[in-house]
Amino acid sequence: MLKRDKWIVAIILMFLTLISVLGIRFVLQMQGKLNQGNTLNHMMDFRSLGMQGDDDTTLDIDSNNLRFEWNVSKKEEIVVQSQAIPIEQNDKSSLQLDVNIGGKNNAYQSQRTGYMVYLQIVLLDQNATVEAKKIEIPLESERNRSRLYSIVIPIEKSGVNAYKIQWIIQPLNNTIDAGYIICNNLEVI
Amino acid sequence: MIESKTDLSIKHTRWILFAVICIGLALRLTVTLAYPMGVSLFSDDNTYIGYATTLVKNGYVVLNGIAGPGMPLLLGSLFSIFGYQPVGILVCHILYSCIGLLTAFGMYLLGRLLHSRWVGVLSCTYMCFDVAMISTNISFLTETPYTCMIVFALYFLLRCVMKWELKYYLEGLVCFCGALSMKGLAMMIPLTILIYSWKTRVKINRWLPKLILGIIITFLLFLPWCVQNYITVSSFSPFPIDQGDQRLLGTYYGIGYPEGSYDQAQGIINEAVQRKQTNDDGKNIGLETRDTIARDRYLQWLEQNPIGFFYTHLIYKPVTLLFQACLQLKVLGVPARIVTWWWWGVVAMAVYGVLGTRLGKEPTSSGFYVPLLYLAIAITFTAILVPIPRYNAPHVPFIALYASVGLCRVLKRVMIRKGKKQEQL
Repeated sequence: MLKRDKWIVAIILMFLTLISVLGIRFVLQMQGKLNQGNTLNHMMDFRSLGMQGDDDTTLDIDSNNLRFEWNVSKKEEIVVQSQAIPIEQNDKSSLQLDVNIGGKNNAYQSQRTGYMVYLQIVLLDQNATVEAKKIEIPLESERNRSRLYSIVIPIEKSGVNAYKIQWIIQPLNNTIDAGYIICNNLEVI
Repeated sequence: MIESKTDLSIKHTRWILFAVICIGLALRLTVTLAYPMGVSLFSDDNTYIGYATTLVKNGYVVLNGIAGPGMPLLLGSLFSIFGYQPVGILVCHILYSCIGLLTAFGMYLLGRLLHSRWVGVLSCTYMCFDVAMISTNISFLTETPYTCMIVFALYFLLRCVMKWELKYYLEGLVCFCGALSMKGLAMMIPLTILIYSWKTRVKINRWLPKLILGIIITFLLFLPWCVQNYITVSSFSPFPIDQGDQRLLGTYYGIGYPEGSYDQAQGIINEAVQRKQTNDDGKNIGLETRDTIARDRYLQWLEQNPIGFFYTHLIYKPVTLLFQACLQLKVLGVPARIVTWWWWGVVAMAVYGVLGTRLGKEPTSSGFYVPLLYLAIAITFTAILVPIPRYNAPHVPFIALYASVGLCRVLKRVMIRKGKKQEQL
């Protein structure tokens, strides 16, 4: 090996040793925190959200799972929503909502059948709507499996002190077909 | 590379590669944009997304011996830049699918190194246009980055053996470590290179220092994950130690396996879980029970039917895996059976490429058969559990390489016959 190559190898080994030691230290620190009962993710308890649905919906809720079903309907929309949830930190610049959602298949690429599903987060100031953001939830799994959906809504106006989460079902061809949605691992950051 | 007057010129090669890669990109864009948030297979890709989002939110993720560190780091890097909201995740899908184009370029380099620019260009074209590879590239599966890394690892390490320069070795090592962070099967690469070095009688004082250096660097890089796995699942290894259902499913696949059904085994596992979630060491009872049943079945199989056991694991499963097209979902309107028949044709052409070159005693570049050696080892080890079509994806580039050689031979014969006919006229 050339002398220059030996120097390069030595520098690489020193650098990797440092990275490795720092990596191990970080792992031990984080595992120590986790062993003391801390968790990485902070999932919300669906039971504490005060979930409400329309007359047409049936809700089934436990700590980490929400399932709601509806029958065929001619309504303009079916809404299942939480109560107003206070925002604990006053200086937040945005809210991020992550949740796994699955349900009765209604989507294949750009085609939709039966109904349209949306997830909306609404920012509130003394129960008045300040801002809202929604995304479509295409239920693509033929086996009703869930995937992660995420919305980020910026908090631009002062006075926003709470938010609400809504699942909105809208008709296709003036009818909402019967269906169901399953949610779990809800986290708001 | 074998110098030949009939080989493509550098200028033509560049233009063809540019066109082929642009078309490959267009195809991947077309397929990805058909889905509002990119493709989800609702399978392992969801698991990797979960790890990556946890890593982005917390700066740390516990792998629990289920996945290697590569995918969470790769996806986590993409998500930290573009986010994983609907638009961001679509952008990440597009960039992820471009890794397949990088693999295609790697195949050009390997084909040019081992044969000619023609073979390199044909291999690159195949990798850009193959429907099965497009369906794999557009979803968040380990196969896409893993395939890319092993192609480049093999290329750089072969260059290192041909021309002992440290830079090729370090580049190959980086790619090998990248592949290893995705799947432990990447260990087949150094094994292949070692066998090749031994065959070409490389002196021990040349390869041994590099082997030791490689072991030290790999060890240092993966040490943090080894420590994490030791703390969480009592296994000092950076690789996934839980092979999922495949290990148990593999005992119901082949010739002469023991009696019983997968559903029966699942019933036993469920009963064990209902009695108790974890054992005294804190290990998951369900996973332990599944591993115990799988191990017992393999031992029973070996005892009761050793011929069936060895035939299954050395011939039946590897051949089954080899002939499976790695199609994940229907793309570009091409039916699955067409993709399968096309793949069988490619394998047949690859066999012709290898046999024709060998039996025709054509001059070959040193290292021409190294990808074949890698394929033989990798397919055998990959198929040991269950030959799932997706697991054949990393073998596609090397089979395409030899198929390109076969196609070149066919085209050469056609041109020669045409030339002879013109002479006669």
